[in-house]
Amino acid sequence: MKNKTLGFTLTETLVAIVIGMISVVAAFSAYNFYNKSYASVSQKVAISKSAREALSMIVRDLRNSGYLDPNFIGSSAEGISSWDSAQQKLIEIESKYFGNYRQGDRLNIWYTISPKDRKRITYKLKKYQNSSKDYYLSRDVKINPEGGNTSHPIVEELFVPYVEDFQVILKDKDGNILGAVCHACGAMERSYGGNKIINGKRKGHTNMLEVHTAEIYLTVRSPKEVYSKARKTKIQNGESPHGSNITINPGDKYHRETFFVSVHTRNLATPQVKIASSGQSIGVGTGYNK
Amino acid sequence: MDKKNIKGVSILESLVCLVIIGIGFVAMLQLSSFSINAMDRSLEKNKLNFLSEMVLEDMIGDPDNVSNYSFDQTSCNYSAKGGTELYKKNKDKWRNKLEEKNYIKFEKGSGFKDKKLRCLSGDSKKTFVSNGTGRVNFFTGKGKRKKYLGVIVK
Repeated sequence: MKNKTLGFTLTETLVAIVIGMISVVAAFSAYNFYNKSYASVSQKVAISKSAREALSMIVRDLRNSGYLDPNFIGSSAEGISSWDSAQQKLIEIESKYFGNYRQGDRLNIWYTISPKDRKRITYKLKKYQNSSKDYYLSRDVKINPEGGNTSHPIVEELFVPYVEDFQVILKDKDGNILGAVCHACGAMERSYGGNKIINGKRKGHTNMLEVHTAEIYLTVRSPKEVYSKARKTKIQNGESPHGSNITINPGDKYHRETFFVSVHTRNLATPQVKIASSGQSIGVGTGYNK
Repeated sequence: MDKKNIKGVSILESLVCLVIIGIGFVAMLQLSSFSINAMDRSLEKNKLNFLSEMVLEDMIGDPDNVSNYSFDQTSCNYSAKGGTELYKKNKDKWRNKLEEKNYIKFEKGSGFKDKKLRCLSGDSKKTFVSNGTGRVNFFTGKGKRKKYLGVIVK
């Protein structure tokens, strides 16, 4: 009878417990690993998605920048009656002033969306309301900014979350940096002669029509911490002194990516006045798109 | 009942079972690391898209000199070549941006190190230009993955 009451021996139980423990630990660590990698991947996806969407839109705006409808003068809802004054607002940057590190740029783009109406788009870093150091890139749109009665309210949009740096470098047809492209010139633009008057026109205004290429740098931070160890980071976008040079010290655990795109501004480095006044079609002017 | 009829799982059997389950586990872990890698690659492809756009925009912006824009970079280490003409400056810009020079640096050991775009031997970046059209080819993943984009410049 005694032989029939069979159970586990002590060693068997111990071995079973050890094997069980090993598999539980393995399952737990696998869960941990999946969880961590999911977190880091979803942060990277968030960065990539928001940057891709934003840059495609910025690219589109830059390609349109400075477009003036041939019938804009005379029918303008903003009361603009000469090409000269219309061409004072085509594209504008204010350098090294915005964001957590005071090195971000503000980009203003104007173009007409109908013979009557002109649109102004502003890209600029703004602080989150409930944060002391986190900034987002906003895209503010206003139709007919000087239009008085025909003016529309500013439509503000949180465009890209958690942006560390937004740099715009404008270059002329020879690849040289234009330091002062502005209507309301900032300190840096003034130091490059933005308010200087040459042949009756402000340099900041005449430079707008010189813009041939716009280079955009967008450095985005992950919303949540990704890395397990803090590390110091340097962000350098664009050429000194126009670009940024940011050192993040003490380091942190965020993931950062810089996205770069460069656009030929088709409507700017074009002798628009000549073509408009001579009535040529835009493809005929020999200086087009140089 | 006879003693011989009482059967259970022997230790050997259970160990074999454990090993098989372990192999399954490793496969799952590899799957996850593969998916993370794929994510990184897609991020870099995203950037490559913008870079190819940059190359084509530069060609569009200089249509009369498009024949000078042929470019062939097979090495992963770029260095600026200099020059005053726009196409030379633009090519230096491409070299810089394809390497992500200076964008983001992390502290590593002593000093900061560049965080570079993945570049394996066999990868290359080429442009082909002919008579008013431009094309850019990016070969990544040891040259296995290809990306083409073309534009009529003039």
